[in-house]
Amino acid sequence: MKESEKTNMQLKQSLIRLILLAAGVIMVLFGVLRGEAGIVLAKAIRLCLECVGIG
Amino acid sequence: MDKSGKTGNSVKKGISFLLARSRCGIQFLATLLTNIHLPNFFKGKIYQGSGKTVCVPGLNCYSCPGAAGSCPIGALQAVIGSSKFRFSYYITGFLILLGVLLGRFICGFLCPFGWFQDLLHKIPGKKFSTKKLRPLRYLKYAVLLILVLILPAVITNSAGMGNPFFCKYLCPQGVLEGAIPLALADSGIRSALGNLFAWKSVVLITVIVLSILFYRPFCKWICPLGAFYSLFNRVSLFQMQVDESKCISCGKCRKACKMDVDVTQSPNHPECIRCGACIHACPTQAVCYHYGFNTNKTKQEYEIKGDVKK
Amino acid sequence: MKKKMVMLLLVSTMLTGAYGCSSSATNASSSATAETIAAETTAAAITDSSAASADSSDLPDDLNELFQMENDIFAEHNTLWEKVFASMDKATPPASDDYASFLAATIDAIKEELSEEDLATLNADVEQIRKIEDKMTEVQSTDSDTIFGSDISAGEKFPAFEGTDFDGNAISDSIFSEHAVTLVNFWFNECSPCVEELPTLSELNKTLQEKGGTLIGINTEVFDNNEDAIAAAKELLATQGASYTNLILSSDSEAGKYASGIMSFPTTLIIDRNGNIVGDPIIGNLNGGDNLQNLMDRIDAVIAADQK
Repeated sequence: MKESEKTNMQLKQSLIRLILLAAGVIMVLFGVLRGEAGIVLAKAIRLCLECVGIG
Repeated sequence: MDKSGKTGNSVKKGISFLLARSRCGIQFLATLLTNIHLPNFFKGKIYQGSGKTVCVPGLNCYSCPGAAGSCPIGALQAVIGSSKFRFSYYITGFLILLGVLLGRFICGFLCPFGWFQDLLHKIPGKKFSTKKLRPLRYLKYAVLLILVLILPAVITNSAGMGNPFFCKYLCPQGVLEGAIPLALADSGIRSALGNLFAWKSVVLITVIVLSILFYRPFCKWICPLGAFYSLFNRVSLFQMQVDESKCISCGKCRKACKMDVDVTQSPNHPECIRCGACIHACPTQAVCYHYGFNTNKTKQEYEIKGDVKK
Repeated sequence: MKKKMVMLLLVSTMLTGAYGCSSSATNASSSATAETIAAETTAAAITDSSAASADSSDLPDDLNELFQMENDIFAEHNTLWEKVFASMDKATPPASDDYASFLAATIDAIKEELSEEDLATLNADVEQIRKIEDKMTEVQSTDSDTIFGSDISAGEKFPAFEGTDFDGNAISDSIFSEHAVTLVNFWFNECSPCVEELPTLSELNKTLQEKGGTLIGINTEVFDNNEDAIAAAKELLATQGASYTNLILSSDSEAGKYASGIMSFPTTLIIDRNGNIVGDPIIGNLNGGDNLQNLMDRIDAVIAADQK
């Protein structure tokens, strides 16, 4: 029983990991498609002084 | 255990030792690569290329002249605070990927501000334990939830834009590697320094002083990025592993751990930054790093169930 | 080695903190001086003018201070100078760029109406002004604080440009010569302090229009007719009730490259009729604090200089 318990637990953990990895990839793609990456870039290359605590 | 298993294990232990030993060097490299645009420090400019569409894994402000990518926390607030969106799938998804792939290994090896605190802690003097201050570690989840995720979405101006509350009011990394180098190099920015900068400098100096007295207080109590990654330690592919057959329960690993974790009880505790102090401390080399989907040790599975067995 | 690095970091932190605090103290004292001039208290003016009679090597390097020293001189002999100004024909611009010589010529034209004593006083004042003007030219040409990301410095010319506004109307740098003073405000869509000051800028534009000036905005995301950015910018301007002109430039034009090089936001420049940038760029949000008042003082100084 112990062995099958272990295997079950291992499978469960691997499943969780795979689901999270897949979710991560899908979320990244969805976010890029809806234009979030553009906002990240636009904000990152111009120094909004108040936003970084200068001023 | 068959012979190949034994050889495999000692190879793993060898690598673990090497990795833990070279942590400082890796931290230096990571900081350098994260802030590779060195000439900008003298020009007082920031890198404006499209590399900044991607985030770096550690806490590293985009206002740093050398920064090669965006800060994940800053980018998260930028998208949440924009007039178009209330939540960022792009950055959250990216952080989930990093969480599963590396977890708080990032905190221990790749974060420039983590390295900064490590260096400060090396300054000689009386050191204090944070064991009794354990409840404080829940503060960082509040910082993540409130300052990073909720306030920029909810407190908006007349144009529907929110402020990056963590970056603006709390983050000391922005002062250390952004405001200070820029103000030194550029007189225009120097003249713009005001009350906000004064407040953030107080935060920075407080963190500096605390880091000399305690080990990594910012990582333990305040960092929202560490808070996020900590949620993934248990499911991360990067794991700590204790060889039951070798462990003699001497407790040296628990004493060596500066994050107040007992690796024999909970190898993948949310507070474990994988620094490897336990690996060095163990007299029987029972602790090592493990990377991958399959584990062949027993501690892992029992941990998920909540049991602790010897 | 690591310890040395850490000490260097700590020292730099403390030094920059001290520096930052001291520069804000200097700003406070120069705005106090501006208010004294506005109140026209001759007592202060007399003390100031004795400082002004130092030679050019003792003159300050700050253009704003030099402007105020000139105003001090006028304030000290207020009645006399009003006679001189009254005789000037506003429609006729100065014969040469040399302001001091222009003043001397005007005094010469009305010398019949002045007593010998008054004439001597006025001429002495003109010589002081000449020294100040020389110093100002010197300061403007050697202003070396150019590490501003885009090499903006006081006294430099704003690059010539041709572009359109958000409605497609053509705008070029001729806008400078049509107004006594032009304010150029740089902003971008994701910058919340920039967006928050848009209503203030809109009000400022209305005030400026009455005084013969104007304000234009340059959004550094809208180069080359970037549709998404323009749409977002239009929406923000509408929400904030800002109706003043905003430019669309081409990114490879000289002005476009200049604007791309602006790194800190929001930034506001004061441009005079000749297209020269007057004084240091104003960096940071104009709402709150004495930023707006300081800006108004500087604008008034440029308008006053333009009318002479």
